Amino acid sequence: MDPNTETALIAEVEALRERVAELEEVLHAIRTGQVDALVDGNDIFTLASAESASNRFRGQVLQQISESVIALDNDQRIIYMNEAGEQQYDRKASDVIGLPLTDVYTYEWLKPGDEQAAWDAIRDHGHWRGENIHVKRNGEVIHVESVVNVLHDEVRRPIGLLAVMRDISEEVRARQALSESALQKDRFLATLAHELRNPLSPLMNGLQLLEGDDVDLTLLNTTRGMMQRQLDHLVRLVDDLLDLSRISRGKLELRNAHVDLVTVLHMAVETSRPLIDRNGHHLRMNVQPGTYPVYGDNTRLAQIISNLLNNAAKYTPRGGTITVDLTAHEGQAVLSVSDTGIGIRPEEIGRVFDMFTQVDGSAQGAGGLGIGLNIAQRLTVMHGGRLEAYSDGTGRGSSFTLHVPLTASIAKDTSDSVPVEHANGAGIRILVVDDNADIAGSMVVILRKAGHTVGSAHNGQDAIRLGAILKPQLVLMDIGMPVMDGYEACRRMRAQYWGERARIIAVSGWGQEGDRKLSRDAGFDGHVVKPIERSTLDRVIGEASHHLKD
Amino acid sequence: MDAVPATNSTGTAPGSPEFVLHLFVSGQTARSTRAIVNVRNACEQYLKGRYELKVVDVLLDPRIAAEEQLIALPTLVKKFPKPNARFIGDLSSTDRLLARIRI
Repeated sequence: MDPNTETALIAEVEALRERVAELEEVLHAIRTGQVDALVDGNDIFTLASAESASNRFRGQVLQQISESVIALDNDQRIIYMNEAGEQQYDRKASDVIGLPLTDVYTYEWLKPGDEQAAWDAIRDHGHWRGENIHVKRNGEVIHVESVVNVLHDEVRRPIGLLAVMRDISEEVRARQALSESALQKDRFLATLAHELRNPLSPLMNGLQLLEGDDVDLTLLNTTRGMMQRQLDHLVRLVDDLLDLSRISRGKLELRNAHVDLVTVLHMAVETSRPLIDRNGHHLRMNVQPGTYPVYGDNTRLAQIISNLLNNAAKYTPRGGTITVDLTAHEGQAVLSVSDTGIGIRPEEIGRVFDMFTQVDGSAQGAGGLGIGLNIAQRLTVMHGGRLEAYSDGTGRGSSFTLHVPLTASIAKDTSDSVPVEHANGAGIRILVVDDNADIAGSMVVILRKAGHTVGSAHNGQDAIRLGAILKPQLVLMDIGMPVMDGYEACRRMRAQYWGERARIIAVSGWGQEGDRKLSRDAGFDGHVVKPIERSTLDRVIGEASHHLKD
Repeated sequence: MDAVPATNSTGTAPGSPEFVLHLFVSGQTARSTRAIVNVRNACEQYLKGRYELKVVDVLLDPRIAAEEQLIALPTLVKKFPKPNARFIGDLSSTDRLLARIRI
């Protein structure tokens, strides 16, 4: 045999020997129960063994528990982690088995002594339940509620620990928010009691003075003036509280009409003028020429503007300047009240409209409940507008801007290019509701061209929201819509003060007597079948206009 | 607590670790857990900072078992340094394990 062949043969034999040795090893491992499963092609055959039941339990039960389950051996190394644990700690079980627990998270305790108590419980009773904090490897911190049990083998020797853990970070946050809210309410009540009592002493004093025998005219007038001011202050506080309560319960009604915001502004200035003058401030008015037609409650609008002016006066050192700007921009009236006062800290700007917040009282004549701006904002929203606050920081003044829709453009545009026409004498306010945007859109175009003020919505819920702002006299509503259908929307509209007397017409593909009855029962005034013919539409609008005059 | 040992020590040189081991298991069973713990212990003790251990559950993708020409599970395969070597069983005998992966 030549040397090459011999070398080749020897190598082949070696390889075979190794292969046989490996197979022998496999057989030995199988016979001595060291194998979980055998592979045949793509199939994996799991062998039955004494541990099968336990393995199935791990796989089928523990894996599916929504709490994290981690098992440790006596050296605090991880020997099991379920899928919930993989998600909670952002690690794969196969990566962490065999590693110490601290590789996955470290813990911190809520109170000193907690840690000792936990280990004592485990040592003395074999289990512990409690809360602590886990710091994940990526630094994220979570609040956890854990139940830890000692694991034992068949002869009751401890072989490790089993921990079942629940992430309660959300609950803890909610708990904290709740107690903060309770604290805020307590503080508010304390301030309220204080503020209500303040005017009472001077009032009592005044009464006593007036009872005296030696009251001359001068004293009478001074005292009466003082008592009147105190009483006014008290009345304002109580009114604010009542407003807040009514708004919170959704029971504050606006008495809406077409008003000119300029008139409202003058009303507000008149109300706030005494306070502005008393503080020696200069008031500048920059009203862009024009009218500012707004559909709203003029008393409430004036209340909003007055609140802004009063705040400007209160939070500006004597002799400051308050500037009012009024312009129109993209269908909205934009009214700003700016001052040269103490400003607002950047970290507090976000909370300026929250209930019960008040800037630390560095303002003169500041008494007050801290609810004025909250009420102002909610009233603004009820008018379909928004209120914003700006400030460059402490000592740099503040500026509050009110945006209110002008009536000529209240409608929700479905196509920007359609010119919005002023509602003339014959035009009415119409709300079109249809989940098909094309149908709604084309109807809006037709109605606007005819000179009406039109808004559109695509489901019952939006229709009710928009209705509250638009206060339509006629509603053309599709029945079949997602989220809330026409029947339900009609019922709810009838329960609103603006919907009670509006003409609400059902627009449906179905026109049988049964369908018309369903509409009547839901509160519709009429029922027309799609597609609506022009003559039908004219008739419906005519009826609605006529109905208005009643 | 101080710095924690990394799961996959990748050695001081940039690039691959000196020893690359793949441990193929069939699910999270008592035996596969023992195998993982044992292998990790041995590696941490004798190959600290020079090894990479990857645990592959073939139940999640059975084709791997065929690709690797596995016969039984769990099986430990040494991928680097060459030549490949395989070890079958619950790997609790550290000496045999180390001999097989040729330290």
